Amino acid sequence: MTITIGGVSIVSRDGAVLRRALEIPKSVDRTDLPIVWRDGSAAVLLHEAVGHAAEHDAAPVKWPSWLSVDDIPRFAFDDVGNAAKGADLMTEPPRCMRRESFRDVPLRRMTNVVVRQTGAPFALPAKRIDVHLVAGGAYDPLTDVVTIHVAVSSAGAFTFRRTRAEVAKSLAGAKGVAIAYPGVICSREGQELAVGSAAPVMITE
Amino acid sequence: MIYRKRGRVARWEHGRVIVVSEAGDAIEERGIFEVRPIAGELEARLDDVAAVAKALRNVKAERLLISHGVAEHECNGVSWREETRRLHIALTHKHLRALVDRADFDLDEIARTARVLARAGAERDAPPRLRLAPNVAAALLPHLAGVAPPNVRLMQSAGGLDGNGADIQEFCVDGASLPNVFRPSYRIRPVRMPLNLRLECDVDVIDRDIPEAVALLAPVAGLMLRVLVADRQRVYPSTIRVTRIDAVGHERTWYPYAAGAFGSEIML
Repeated sequence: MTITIGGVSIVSRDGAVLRRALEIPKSVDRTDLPIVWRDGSAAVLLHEAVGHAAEHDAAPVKWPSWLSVDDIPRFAFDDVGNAAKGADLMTEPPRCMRRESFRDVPLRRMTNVVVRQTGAPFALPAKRIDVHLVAGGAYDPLTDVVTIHVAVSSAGAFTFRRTRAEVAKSLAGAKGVAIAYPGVICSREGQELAVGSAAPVMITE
Repeated sequence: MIYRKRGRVARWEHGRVIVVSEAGDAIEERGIFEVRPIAGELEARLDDVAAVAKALRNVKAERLLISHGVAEHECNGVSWREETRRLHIALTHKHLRALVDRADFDLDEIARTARVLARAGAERDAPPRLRLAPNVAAALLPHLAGVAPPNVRLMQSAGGLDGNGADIQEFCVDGASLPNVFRPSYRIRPVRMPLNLRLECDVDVIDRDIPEAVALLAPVAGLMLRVLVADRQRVYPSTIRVTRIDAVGHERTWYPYAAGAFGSEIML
């Protein structure tokens, strides 16, 4: 289920998770500092920058070698009855066809985005922005621009907007295992689908 | 209150024609809104939406949705039938995207927009005086509710029935409670909204020598419009903020923005 408080939504049955996140105070006044994507929120950034770009067959960009972004279905069959198959989103589009309802055309869509890192430690900068929840994101295939509307961070709400190449260049490191983000409702062509999302703590400079 | 709908629609989307027949009940009692599908198909002859798409094969479209639907509604002892045509196309040229939404299959207007878009140059500041084409003005109207300048009147136009089968009343949208409801689907609880908006102004003389905003380049955000401006031979993208409206033309065309808006030329 989706819980929304003050315009910020999570996909969870636990409203306390959202209430706790919304209580995080604003402690930074600038938005031009390194950003530490916590609580799995980097999965949303890479859902847009890698996943949607793959759906649109966007031109390749040079992602860090320590990064992997995979679509790992958690169901046996997709919405056209084919066996669900995983995909390496950094090199290929998702392999599952999904549709919101019987009235909709099946589209090649992500199912469960899992971001992993291998040997990419980083030092936590003293001056930084910690991102905890995002309100939404978008990828524009025409301009190759990724937009993330951050809902809860140490700098308050703000909008992160960069080209995919800039996002790739700014990824400076990651720590730990993938943390499940509390849900992404992904909208494409007007069809809203829940997409699982998980990512380690990650930093963009 | 029981609302019942039977409908049939043909839709062109991603190179396919989808024909959907659907019927359902919506029951609202003591604060509970419940919907369920019901048996029974509507017999209706639908347009060949694939033929419309084929006629647009020469324009560069990032997205094209074409639909024709027929629906029968019943609510509060009133029955009514409606027919809708919708066409959405996103035309592209370099990094620009022009958005066109129509309630008919008039393709000349789309071809004209595509030709103008293909001549677009670099971004420029908005000209001091500008006229909005009816399709651009219609998209703006829902955003003028409560903030329309004092020299214009934002009106709901009388005619037809609302989502509960009640007559749509003539009404000035000035912040007072709205008399009618919009029900885009039987599965959605009807919401109070102004329907079939139009803008009125005592001045209706439009200067046709000033630049024209011919198409939207992005969905309207509040009173900010990102538009494609045609100024004689020069065409460019620009961003404008609507702060005043000098004149509103008389000729109106209905567009499917929000719960409907009649677009007419507007001079800023």
